[in-house]
Amino acid sequence: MDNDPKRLCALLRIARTENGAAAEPELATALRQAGTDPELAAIAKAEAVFDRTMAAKLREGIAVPADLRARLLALDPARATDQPEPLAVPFPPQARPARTWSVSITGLAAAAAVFIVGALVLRSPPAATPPAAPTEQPTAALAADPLSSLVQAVAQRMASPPDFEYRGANLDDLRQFLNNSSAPAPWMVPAGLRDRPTEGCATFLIDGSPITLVVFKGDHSYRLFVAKRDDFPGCAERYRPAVEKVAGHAVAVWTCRKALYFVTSDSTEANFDDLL
Amino acid sequence: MASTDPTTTPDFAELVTAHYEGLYRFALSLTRQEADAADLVQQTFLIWATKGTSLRDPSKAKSWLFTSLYREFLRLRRRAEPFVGAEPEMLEYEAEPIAPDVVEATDASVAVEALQEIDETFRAPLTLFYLENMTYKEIAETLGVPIGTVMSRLSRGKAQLKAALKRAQKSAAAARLSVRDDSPEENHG
Repeated sequence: MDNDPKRLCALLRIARTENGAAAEPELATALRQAGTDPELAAIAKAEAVFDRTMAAKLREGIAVPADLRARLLALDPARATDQPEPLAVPFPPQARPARTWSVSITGLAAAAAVFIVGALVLRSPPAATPPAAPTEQPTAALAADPLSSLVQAVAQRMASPPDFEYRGANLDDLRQFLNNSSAPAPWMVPAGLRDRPTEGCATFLIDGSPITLVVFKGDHSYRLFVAKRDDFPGCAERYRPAVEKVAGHAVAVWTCRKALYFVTSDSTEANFDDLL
Repeated sequence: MASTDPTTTPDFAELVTAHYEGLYRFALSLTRQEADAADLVQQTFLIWATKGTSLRDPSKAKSWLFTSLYREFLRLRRRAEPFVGAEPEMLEYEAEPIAPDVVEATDASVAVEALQEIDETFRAPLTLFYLENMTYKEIAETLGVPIGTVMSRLSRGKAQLKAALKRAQKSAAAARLSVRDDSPEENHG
């Protein structure tokens, strides 16, 4: 280490023993020199006081949201096994129809959404709900909140092909585009979706509320919808993605802060376990 | 005992309780938006829930969480790093002196605003330095940069922080004067 006094002072401004300065040769040397030089010692002391005060002020000034811990604990994978509602419902082999898809993704999307909506509407009054198969537990109270009407409106919308406003394979590019357009952007996306290439995104209005559609490619096509929760008051909070399997099709729903998300797939073989 | 076995995967709830506040503060220093910071922490624990359990050394859980959060932040921000090329490793030689009693008298919210004002490149290591008491080596590992770069960023970050604090104090003083001037006459007596 050179003995440049300016460099020595600069090192002392960041040399803190509680941050492991003793393990860094240059910082350790600077601290040793401060031990024998009153002027350097005064600098080191003043900087240490500044750092301690700043740390205390910053801790005091940054309030952690009161509900954050509870929201995080709800993500605990161990708790998922304790609950009757699994994180995702794998499709039992016997329930899987043969893959005979040959029509367009858009057609399948519309069909899937219509199936979902139909089933949701049928499931609304519990008394009229047919006995569920053991593997088809009601994992989310979809029909009990405004989500069903939203899904229904989206299903009608999906009867026509998505008119992509932005095409691209990179989710971050789509996010940027949507964010710049002040449209709901998909910030909270499960890892299984995040790693897939995207096809494009579109935005549209339902009852004046902006909805974003992002289409993901891969073995199966997944359509992710994002809405602003404020536009659908009463929609229950879902800290964890909840999957509802209906007529061989699935929709996964979750919320995160100000956004409401749900994803559908074109295929009955889509495995939300992998996705979520 | 399983709970003391170093090879045991850390309990999720314990992990949350131990680190969520620090992660949130770090996230807030990066995003500067409370909602985005909470989302980033949530995303980090979601990643832990899917991948973290395969961590071989549980003692590295904290480092893993902070590193994952930072990477996730960079990914969301499209990796638009201001220092894509070589970042000069240099210490800030000229730092404005600031009296200890001035810092002591600073409101906590002003201190946070001052931190938020400085460049993100310097904000991230400073937050880990101040709020997590991380060592230089741990900060380097979390941010994925050499230790020399950490020292350089801390040095320049502290200089920016002091300058921001001074500006904030000047603004606060000016605002106090302004309020006094605008006070109705009847309030003076």
